[in-house]
Amino acid sequence: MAEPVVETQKLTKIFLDFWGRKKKVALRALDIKVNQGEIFGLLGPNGSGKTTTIKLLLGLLFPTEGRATVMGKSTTDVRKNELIGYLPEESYLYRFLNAEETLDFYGRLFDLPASVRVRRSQELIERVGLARDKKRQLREYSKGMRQRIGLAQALINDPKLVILDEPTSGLDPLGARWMKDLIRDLRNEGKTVIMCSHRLEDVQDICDRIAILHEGDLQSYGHVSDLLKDTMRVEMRASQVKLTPELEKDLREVLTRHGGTLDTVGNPTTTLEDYFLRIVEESKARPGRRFLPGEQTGKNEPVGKK
Amino acid sequence: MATGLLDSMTPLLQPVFAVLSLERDPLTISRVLDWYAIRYYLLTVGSVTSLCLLLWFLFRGWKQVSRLSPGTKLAFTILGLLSLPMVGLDIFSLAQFTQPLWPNYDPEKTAPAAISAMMRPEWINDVLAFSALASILAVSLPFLVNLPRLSFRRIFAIAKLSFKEAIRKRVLYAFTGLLLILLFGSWFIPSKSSDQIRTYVTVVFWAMTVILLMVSALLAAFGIPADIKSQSLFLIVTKPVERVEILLGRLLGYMSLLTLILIVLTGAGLLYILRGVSPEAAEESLKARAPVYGILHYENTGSEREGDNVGREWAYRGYISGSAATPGSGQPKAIWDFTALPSVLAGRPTVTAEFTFDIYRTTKGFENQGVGIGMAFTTRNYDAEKLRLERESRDREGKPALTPDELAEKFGFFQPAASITFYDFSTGSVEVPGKLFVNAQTGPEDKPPIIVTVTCKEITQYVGMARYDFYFREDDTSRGADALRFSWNFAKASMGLWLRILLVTTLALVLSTYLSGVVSLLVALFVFMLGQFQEFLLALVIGRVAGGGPLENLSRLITNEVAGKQLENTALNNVIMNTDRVLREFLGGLMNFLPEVQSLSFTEYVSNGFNIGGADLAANAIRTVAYLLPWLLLGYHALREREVAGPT
Repeated sequence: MAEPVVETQKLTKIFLDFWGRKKKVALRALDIKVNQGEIFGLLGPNGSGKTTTIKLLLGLLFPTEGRATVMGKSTTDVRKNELIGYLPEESYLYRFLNAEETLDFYGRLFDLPASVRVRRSQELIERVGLARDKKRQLREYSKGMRQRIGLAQALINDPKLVILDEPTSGLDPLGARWMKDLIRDLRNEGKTVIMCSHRLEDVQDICDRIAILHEGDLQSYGHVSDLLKDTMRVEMRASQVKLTPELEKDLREVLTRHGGTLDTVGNPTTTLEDYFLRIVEESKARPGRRFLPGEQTGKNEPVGKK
Repeated sequence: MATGLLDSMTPLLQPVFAVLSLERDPLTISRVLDWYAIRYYLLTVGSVTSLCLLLWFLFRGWKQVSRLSPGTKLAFTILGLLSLPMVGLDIFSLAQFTQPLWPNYDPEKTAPAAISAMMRPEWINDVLAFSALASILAVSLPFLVNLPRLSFRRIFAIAKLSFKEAIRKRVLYAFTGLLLILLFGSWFIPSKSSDQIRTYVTVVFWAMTVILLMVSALLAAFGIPADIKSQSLFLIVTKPVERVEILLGRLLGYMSLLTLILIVLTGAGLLYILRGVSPEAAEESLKARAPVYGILHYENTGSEREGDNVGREWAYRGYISGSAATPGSGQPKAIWDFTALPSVLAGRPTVTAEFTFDIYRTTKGFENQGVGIGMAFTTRNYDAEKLRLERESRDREGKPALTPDELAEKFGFFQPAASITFYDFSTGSVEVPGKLFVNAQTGPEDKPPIIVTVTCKEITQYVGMARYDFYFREDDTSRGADALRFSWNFAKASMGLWLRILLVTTLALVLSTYLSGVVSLLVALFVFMLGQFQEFLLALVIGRVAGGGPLENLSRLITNEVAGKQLENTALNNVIMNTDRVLREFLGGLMNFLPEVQSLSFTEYVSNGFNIGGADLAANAIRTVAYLLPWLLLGYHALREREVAGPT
């Protein structure tokens, strides 16, 4: 089996006060492995140790006990950073630089030659959709634009491992969807992605495996599909059929014969995100369209009239 | 710096008031690169690095070492073992520093730590220096191991970022303050026409120094802490960047910007000074005298190294009187031996000798009248007996007396006049025949090529002189004012300011790797200011400050005792004085870690028209860089060992 991209063994971080007394146990004996080519999610409420884990993996913090390796190298070895791209929760970029200067600066930190820096910068600026704004200083950017250029800087070295801290935080639904699509693309390109978030729907959408932390302790760890699977319940979807009282009665009888009960039955609903995105797309396709009070809106029906 | 008005003068004196008082010898490269200087440097730096090694080992233990690669571990172990003598010396020194607090301590019998260090045999100091070097290498090992990985591209990227950051954050606005001083300064600067350049140079350099040093300290102190606070540093340290690259990049960026500003300001300052220079000021200061100094010693003053003490508080000059101290003893003389003379002097018809002496009067004398001195120039070939015989022979034969040139060339002797009158606070000059220097070129190797002997001709007066009060001018005095040489000299003074900027920037930057911006700024400026007041600190360390040490002074303040009175011999006073001795020992140790700031200020050279020696500048540059290297090492470790992220 291939060596894991990230491995922690009894990784512990205790913050001490000025006098060396324990102030907070941020992470306690974490044992996880992240494999190549997967999207791994770190989940947990605020203060659960997600960001601490990421900072330990990046060498921004030093472990109190235990150890962690990234691509076989110690987290304190700066050489590991050659293969890592990191996007922090907030975009901590220099706001007096423009997009091109920003990417050029981080490209230089990877010791990339000028020709490579220029090519990659242009590609990434196109990819994150900032071609028209590349000459503007970042101080003039919106939060979403800064997150995009932040992601571009994380990819300037064509990393093997991408670490994203709350990548969709503060983004509008369009931006969040764009980010999630891009994370999936990264996986498809063979990169490993570690992301931490407390937006559960994002994690459920895109992560292959997750670790759930609470107050520094690992609570749950595994494939999302396995963890969410409820073996005591059955879900069924059907098409080409209308829900009628007769169908509901038949279903109830079948289930009773097999020792179960019918809890609910109804038409499926889409997610609010999908619904929102559809509306926005339709709005783009039909300029001038707007919602009129009193109009009926329903599934697959337009919500307004031109 | 002493200036004054000369109402009347003899033809021998020129109306020049430029005086350069050098309380310390100008630095030379050989003095800086001398083995004793290097050894002292190693012992000073090594005393800290070995202490750091000891503390590191005590708090971190062998566990950390065992994580190193086998080669590094072996090197670290060997260097650590070689550092043991220095660790021993550290422990011994700490014990020695605190000895005034030991029972049965007798200040009369126990030598201070600095004295006992000087009394150590040479070979022990050599061994300790070797051990100190090992401890420095041990502490530098992580840096040395990573050295091949350093990338100039990364350093340059961070430098460029720092440069842009400073410009885009409108740091340059601070320099409009200088513009205001230059624009309106003339309204408030009273100046005699002859003082014009002197005053303007002083004002321009003062303004440049204050503004540049403040800006450099502010820039350097807040750069890294601001990056940590805004967490921009996260995105840098998560790239393959060595921490030392951040430090060097920041330093390079700030220094590039400040250098550029300094060049522009130097040019602007020069234009400001050189527009419409009065002829008097040009004669005074628009030049760069290149003095050739001799070595001063005395005869018949009781000590060869010191002249008589007339009780002046400023003990810069030694004095000679016009009469013998005791009947039968010879007349006191001040003698300069010139051991190294530039060969260019021998090719000139005359060479200018300039001197600035102080008069100490025991009788009033005449108002506005000078004091007569005797001055004789002799070479190593001078034979008084031979000259006497020649003169007698010429007298007998009725031949004309020898001309000064003949005397100088054939007999190595020149005497400008039987008595030269000179005035207080003025610079006199004598034109010495170039033939004297021709004569001095060959002769016995064990004698100095030229000796200048000065005597006081008035029995009730004293004449005071220091080593740098008499010199030959290497530069061509026939050219008079020389704006080009002055400008180049001005630029050299700017280089001295550049070294001070480097000092402050590096200190602030290194401190900011661990401390907050405000604290780094204050500590850097405090260290710099302490460097400025080294003389006072030295006086405190050797117990020459009136009122004693800090605790003794505090006690006097509380008990309302005057400073000159000896404290009573009580148990409490003994504790106070002995604690002060301990503090003085520590302060003495601390003084080794302060920068040499005063020697980097060359304003007085420029304002008085004296050339700044290239060797002096180069030696100061070497010393400044040598001083900053351990600080950079400290900054490297501080940045490497610290967690740049916090709990949130």
